[in-house]
Amino acid sequence: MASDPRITGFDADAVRSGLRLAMTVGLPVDPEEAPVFFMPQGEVTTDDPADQEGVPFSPTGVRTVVPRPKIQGVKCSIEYVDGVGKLENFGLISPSRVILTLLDEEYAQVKGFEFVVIGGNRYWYKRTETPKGLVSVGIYRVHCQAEDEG
Amino acid sequence: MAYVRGQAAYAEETVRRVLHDQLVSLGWMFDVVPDPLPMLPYSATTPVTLIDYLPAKESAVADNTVAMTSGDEDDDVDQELGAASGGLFQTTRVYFLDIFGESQGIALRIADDIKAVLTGKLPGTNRYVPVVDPVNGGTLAGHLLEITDVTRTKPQSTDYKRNWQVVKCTVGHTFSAVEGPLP
Repeated sequence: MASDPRITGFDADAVRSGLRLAMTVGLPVDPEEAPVFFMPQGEVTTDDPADQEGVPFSPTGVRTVVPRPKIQGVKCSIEYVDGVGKLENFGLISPSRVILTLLDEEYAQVKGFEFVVIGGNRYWYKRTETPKGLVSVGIYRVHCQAEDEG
Repeated sequence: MAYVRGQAAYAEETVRRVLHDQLVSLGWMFDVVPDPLPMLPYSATTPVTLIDYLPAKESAVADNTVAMTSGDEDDDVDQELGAASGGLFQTTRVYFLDIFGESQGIALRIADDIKAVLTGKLPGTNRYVPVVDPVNGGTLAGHLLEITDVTRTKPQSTDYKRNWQVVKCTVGHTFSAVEGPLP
């Protein structure tokens, strides 16, 4: 038992296991609809004259692109927040969002992700709330925003 | 040839076929994607997919998707005196090509190729295009499209569609018709 000196008898492993079970219960039934985290684009290399993104100026130019890593099977809870509307100088936008809650070990797996796809919809990383703890179990709430005004 | 019922759809199909055929010719897309995938222009990683609707909001759009949608259509304008009694008219329609690239650089190059196709700058392309007849095959006699005002922009409304380019064009559709007589 991985106990914590701050609270006698606190079993971090058991708490993690219970929270993961709860998260698993809340995840989509169809694995295809479960969250898939996409990390930033991999390295692009070319020997041909290219722009800042590494795309050759010549249509026959060759470049090598390391595929964008994606991480599946991460247990988390999902809260969907429907668009509420925000007035911008070009009109009203109302992006919908998701708030993902992850334990510290899962957060470490996906930290730095660029966007997450859930049920075919893409949500871009926006911010992570200040870290919280459940004794020695870290809790992270990550806000992501829909691709477009929803 | 006279007005054809539903000719707006014929014109849209014509523009779509021009884009499809030229994107295939340029190596951006395939009718049947070969396996293994040959090298794409600019060493892109995903072939172009041409669709006729804007992807649903929030949807994870496939890289290098080109979405063709239509905008406003103006009133028919007489092209000659007395056209209403049997003469030439022109209707202008606006089309939008939304390009969602795998990167900004690739989106820019796809958009640039599309603009070059629509402005007749690439070999085998022309600003003047006969209207196809999807029902009987061939083209509609006397129906001609003229592609003008081809512009490219990178929308800045949000930073979420990061690799997004839009090409807009105006297409004049010239045809002959007879309007109903005065009462």
